[in-house]
Amino acid sequence: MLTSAVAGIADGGGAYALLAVALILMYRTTGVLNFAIAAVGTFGTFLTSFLYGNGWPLLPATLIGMAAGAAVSVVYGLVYVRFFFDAPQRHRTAVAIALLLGTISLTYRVFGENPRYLPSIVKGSVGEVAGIQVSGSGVLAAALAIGAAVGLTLMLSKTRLGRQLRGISQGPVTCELLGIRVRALSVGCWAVGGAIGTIAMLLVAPGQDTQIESLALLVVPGLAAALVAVFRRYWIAVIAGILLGAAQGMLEYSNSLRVFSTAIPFVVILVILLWLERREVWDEAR
Amino acid sequence: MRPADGAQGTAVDAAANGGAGVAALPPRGRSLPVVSISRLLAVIAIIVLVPVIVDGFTVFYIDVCITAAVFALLIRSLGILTERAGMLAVCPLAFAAMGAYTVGYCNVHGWPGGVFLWMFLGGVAAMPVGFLVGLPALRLRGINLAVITLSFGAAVYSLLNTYEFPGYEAGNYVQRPSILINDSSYFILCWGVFVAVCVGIWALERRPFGTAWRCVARSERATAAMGMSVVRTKLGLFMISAFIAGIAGALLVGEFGVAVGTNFDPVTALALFASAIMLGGGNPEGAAIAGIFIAFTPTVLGDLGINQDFSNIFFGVGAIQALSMGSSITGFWRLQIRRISLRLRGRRGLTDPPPVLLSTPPRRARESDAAGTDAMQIHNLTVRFGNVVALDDVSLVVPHGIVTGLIGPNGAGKSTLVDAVSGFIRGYDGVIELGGEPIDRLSVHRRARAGVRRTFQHERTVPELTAGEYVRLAARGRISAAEISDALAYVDGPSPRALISEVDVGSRRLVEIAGCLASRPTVLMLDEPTAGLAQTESLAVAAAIAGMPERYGCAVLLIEHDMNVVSAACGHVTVLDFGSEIASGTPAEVLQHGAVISAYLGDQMVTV
Repeated sequence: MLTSAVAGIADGGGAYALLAVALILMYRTTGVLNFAIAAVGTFGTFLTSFLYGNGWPLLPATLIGMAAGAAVSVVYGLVYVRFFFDAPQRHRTAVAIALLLGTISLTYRVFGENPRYLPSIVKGSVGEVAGIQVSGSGVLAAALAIGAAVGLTLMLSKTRLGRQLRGISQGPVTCELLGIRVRALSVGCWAVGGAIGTIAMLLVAPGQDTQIESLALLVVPGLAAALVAVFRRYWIAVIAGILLGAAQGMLEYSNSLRVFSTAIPFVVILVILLWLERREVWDEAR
Repeated sequence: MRPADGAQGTAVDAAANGGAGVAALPPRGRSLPVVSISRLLAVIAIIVLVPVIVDGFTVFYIDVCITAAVFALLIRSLGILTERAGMLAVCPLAFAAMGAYTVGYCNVHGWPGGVFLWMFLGGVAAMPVGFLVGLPALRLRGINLAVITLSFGAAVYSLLNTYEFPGYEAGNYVQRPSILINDSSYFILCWGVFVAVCVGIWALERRPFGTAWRCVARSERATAAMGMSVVRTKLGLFMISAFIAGIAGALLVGEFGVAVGTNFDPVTALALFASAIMLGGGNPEGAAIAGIFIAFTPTVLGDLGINQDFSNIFFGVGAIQALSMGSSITGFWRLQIRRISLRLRGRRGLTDPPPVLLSTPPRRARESDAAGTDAMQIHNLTVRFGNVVALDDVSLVVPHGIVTGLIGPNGAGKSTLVDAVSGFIRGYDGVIELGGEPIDRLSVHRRARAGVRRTFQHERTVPELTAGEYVRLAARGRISAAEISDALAYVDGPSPRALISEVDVGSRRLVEIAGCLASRPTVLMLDEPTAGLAQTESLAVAAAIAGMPERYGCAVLLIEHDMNVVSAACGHVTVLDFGSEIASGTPAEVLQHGAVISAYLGDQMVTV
């Protein structure tokens, strides 16, 4: 059991945590729950794989993949800022779903349907825990997630930029009236989100099924982890992501329960949301 | 009637637009050039598709036509959820899989009844799944519901990929009966089912249950305040949607003999969602066109040597474009047709007939209306929000036959009192009696049915309905056309045939009041009905309010800031300040009362 939990953390937990951190950052600053974040990351990851397969060294290929993820994300951010800046939440959500579809199809279109060899950007294992090899990329993902959570928490509470971003999350229109460049900052957050999403997918993809759509749907466990943190506390999201990976790892270990491992995020999401919204008997009062 | 105030509310056809829709719509001037690009593409695509459909009834294309019917059904099932009721649910294929599984199961186990019955059972079997997904939707809205249904769809998909559908491994495929054995008869069956489903939805939408779908999208509070159960409306709609999707899944099994997991993959679900938004799954023609599009674009693109992935990119971009416009393509067409027909009718000098007043509108006798009793009694009502005491031990009597005024400065607790009486605030202290019976344990819609009706400070009519349809809904269908017309005429409202989105906000408020009157309530609570009206209009409304108890037999509780309106309409006035009653009496007495003057104008004014 312990073994498989560790394997789960190494396989997915770190990446879920990273995705959750990026989702929270984007939701708090742009007001968009970015369903397409893992899909955008998959696009960047496939570009890295394509370049690597054509003889590029790993580091530049990785950096270009991240830049591509950020660039696609910026385009989406511009769409939001231009057309949906003060659109109702339901419209923004529907747009995010359409972007998820569009990104998956775009990735298929650009990189084809054949499974790709996805290079591990961290080779080998970092050691043995409870008798299994712990992959370097899993540990790196978890470490990056923790680093991002700490960094973002400090940045948001200590710096001027952080204060502006917190202001935007509370009232974008008010901040715009105060002279803060809300739209530019918002697009900047899309870039950061796209880059983090790509890192997460680069780290998780080599251990996973390389189908584009199953990679893109890794946003679901990311969403579950972000929800546990109520889209607020980064470090809770990180812990939740890692634990979610562990729980999935334990189920994968059992042949009969394996099929339910993808149902875990659903159950987590359902329970958390119903608990949080238990008093929301009515829609908005005004 | 005042002209429309620029809010092109009829364009609220894009999915999920119902709620705050009007505000999000772009000004008309900017919209036209953007429209042309993607709509032109759509028109070209249809021009390409139609000959293919007409000529191409080869063996290959008829398969695609059958698939198109299945997709059209799925999009219709999505359309009523997303577009009508504004609930973003992205898991139609989970329901369809349940239908497909049921047919396979019946086949493998040799159930009696044959394919037709099994298909129906497939739809029925999907309904409990719809119910279960609908349960969280009672609390979760918008983004949260999208998250839930997306993750549910993903979880179901992974289960489907692990467990084969019944009959797949053994090669025990579903055989169509002899009448359906060739594809052209099955084609007719599938599209026949689609037409039947659309007719069924059309019929439902003419009943209060179906009209309430749009109302839920606009405001759940308003739905309940009209006496309709939000729980029943939402769950019922989810079950109907699941039923339709289940039938679609069953038809899929009939087409191929067996279903496989990849039929139900999440990307297809996303494509269905996007095309429903782009083309308007809430409209029958939108669902049909979208179904044909999804089924045919891969084929047509493939034949043209173009990669099929373009079709999904096309749907994604089209959906975003439709959302930015605030209207789906078929919704836009409908709007244009309506504009043209309005213009033609205007040229011929035809206008909507004005509402007609009855000499004596029928009054419903209620047991609680017995003369000499109070319509409503509020005893020691206390409402706390955390440490704030919004209402402190307020007692109030609303007698039959007169208009009772409730006034007080901002924050005095007037609207809180209306919310508590109509049932939106649970856990208050005190007793509220209607005709001597306590109603404290009743839910909002039960209170409304018992005879407590209210309007809202910000009107909550449903823009897609006509004034007459709205009034009929408010009366829960039990009303004649003449009575609908009478209620609208009495408040000097618009024609019963006027679309609410095309009248101004003041008229919408009158429609809301007319709806309340048409339901023949025991007590009618009007929350600032004249806010935002000009002085002359306010006084006209005040005169109408003053006559309501006599004409419609309802006691009226009027909340108002405008003292002219209060003096003109009320027989008795109670004044609240900081949650407590400070004065009570006839309007003239109350307005002379020192505490009232100081509450409104400040202490200095009194001492001066």
